[in-house]
Parts: sequence; structure tokens; C-alpha cells
Amino acid sequence: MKLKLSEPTAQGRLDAPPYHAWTHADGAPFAEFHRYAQQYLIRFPDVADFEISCAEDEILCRPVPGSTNATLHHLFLNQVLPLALNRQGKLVLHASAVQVGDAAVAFAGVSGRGKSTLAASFATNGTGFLTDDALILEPASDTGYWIAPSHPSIRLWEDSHVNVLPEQVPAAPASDIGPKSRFLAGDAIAFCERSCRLKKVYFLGDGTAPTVSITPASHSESLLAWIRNAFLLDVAEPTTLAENFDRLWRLARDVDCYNLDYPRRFDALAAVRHAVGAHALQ
Amino acid sequence: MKPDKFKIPPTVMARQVGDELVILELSRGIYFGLDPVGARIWQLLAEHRSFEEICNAMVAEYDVRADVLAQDVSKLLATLSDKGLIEPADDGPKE
Repeated sequence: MKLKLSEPTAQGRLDAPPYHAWTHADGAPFAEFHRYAQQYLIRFPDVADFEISCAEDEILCRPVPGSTNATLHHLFLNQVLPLALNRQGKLVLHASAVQVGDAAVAFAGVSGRGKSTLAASFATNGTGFLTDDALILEPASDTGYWIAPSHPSIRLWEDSHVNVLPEQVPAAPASDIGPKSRFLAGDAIAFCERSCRLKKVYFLGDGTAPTVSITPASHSESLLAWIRNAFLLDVAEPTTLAENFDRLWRLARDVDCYNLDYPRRFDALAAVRHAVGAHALQ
Repeated sequence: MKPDKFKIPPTVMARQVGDELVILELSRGIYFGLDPVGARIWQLLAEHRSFEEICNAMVAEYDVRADVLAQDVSKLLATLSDKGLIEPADDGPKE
């Protein structure tokens, strides 16, 4: 799916209120969702409008004057593209993934649970990552799922990149949204460029476990966790909701899922890598 | 007055996951999980069983006192009804 940038222009007033919105902690809108006959429009107030066509394999971005390319590409890669792929019927989930043996495992969780930090920890120790935030799954022709590699970059909070990445890794140009910095894969951050079979999934806990803990997640736990962690463009359209629910139900049924928790200390990451690596290969 | 029979609205879909159940209310995007006992009650609701029929079936299947069971079923039906996951059937109310 391609991104097409138009000339910068001020955001005009839209005829109808959004059918859905994401808000900041203070209640201010971060993204507003509008549905039209042939397209969706996602408005990031004072930054850009993104138009997702239902018919074409292209997303049009109308930036507000002054928005930087880094910001626009950040929004495209991390928010708009996952939603557009979901609209095409793909499963897109808030999860990172790393290669383990000849397959891959995913780490799912809401923002702040450590998905990217854990993926970066694997990637800086020679294990390629496939995605740091938006897990794109394709059903396999037999059973199970394939993970398609996403953009070869990882976004990290400052404490994570200071503690996990080698010093010489430069940050990509910063976006104006959010405090995370983006780091491109390369010699210091291993990336897996090929699709891998999804072997196991780990839902990241809240960090209260005193040591590394891996326990099976029940099917219903897994389904509800996937529901919380799914990218869904049209949350107000019953047919889409029902289709997405069925896709997530099959995912929860067909893939082994576990709860993973560990102390959120950087010096604990080696033990997490070791435990996950051994568990994933069982 | 409590309804004696409930029905599952067409805007509600449910999927069995293991021995549990996850329910989705489509018009509002509300999800709800039921443990194995709740899932069995849901199954009986889907078979259009009345409150009394549900209680009788559950008492026969589980090691539980009838009065305790009736209270638990009543609570669950109230919760499901409050969330819009079930609604009174048209067979008429019961005192």
C-alpha cells in the first residue's frame, strides 16, 4: 500500500462529526475517524488528514503546513497503514515479533508494556525482529499464520534506547508526535526480512512478577487480549466488527498463547530472552 | 416483575473458546466473557429455555443448592440484560 503526499493545506471543517475518535489523556482529540461512501478519512488535528480509499491501494496524505515528513511517515507507518490493512481484511495487532529458530514469536500488549524494548533486546543480540509495533498476520494455507515483516525500524523511549541499543546507533529524524525515537535496522539491530510462521504469542504483563514468568493463556483470555490489541479501522460498522471478531477468534483458537511477565529492569532482559528462547523452541 | 424468558438479539454474536464463551454486542462494540458455567447458561438461553428450565438443568448438572443456583442465574441474567446482551422474549412477563 502506497503513501501519496499532497501539497500542504489547512484542514477544512468537515460536514459531520467523527464516528470514532482517539483522545489524549487530557481529552483532546489525537485522531478523528470519518466514513464516506468510498473512503475513510482519518484526521490528526493540526497535523494531517489521511484518506484511505476503499477501492485503490493508495493512501493520500494532506499535511497541514509545517508538519514534518518524519511526523507524517510516523503517523502513516504506526497508525494509518495498520488500520488500512485491517480494512483490507488483514489481521493487524499491537505486537512486536522476533525470529526464533525457523519460526517467530510475538509479544503483544498495549502501549508501554515493553513490546519494542523486548524486540530491540533480541535484535541487538543477533535475533532479527519482524516488527516492533504492528504485527501483520496472513493465514497460512494449511493451519496457523505467517508474520509479514514490517518497516525495518524500532521506536523506543529514551531510557530503552540508552540501555538496550549500542551507543553508535543513530536515531532517524524525530517526529513531532510522541517522545519515542526511531532507529533503523542495520548492523547493530538485526532485522528479519522474510515472512516467518507464527509459533507462539506472549501477552506482556504489568511487570509485577518478581522473576520471569510464563504461563498458558486460556482461549478466552487470548481472544479478549487480541480484541484489546487489534487495529480496527471501523469500530462502528457491525459487519466489519463481526468479521474481525471471527478472525480474532480463529487466531485465539489456532495459536498457542501465553502470559509473559518479568521485572521491568533492563538487567532482567537477558533472562527474558533466554526464557522465551527456550520456551519457544519447546 | 422479572421476565421468564430471554432472547439473544441479532446484534449479539458469541463464540466458544475452549469451555468458555466470548460475546460481542455489535451495535456498541461491547465484549463480554463467560466462564464455563456462564457459557452453559448462555447455551440454554440460546435454546430459548425459561428461567425455571435453566435452573432445573443447571441443578441437574452441577453440585449446587437450588436456591443458591437460582440467585446466581438471576444475577447473571440481570448483568447480561443490563449490557444489552439479552432481552426479554415476547412470551410475557412473570411475577
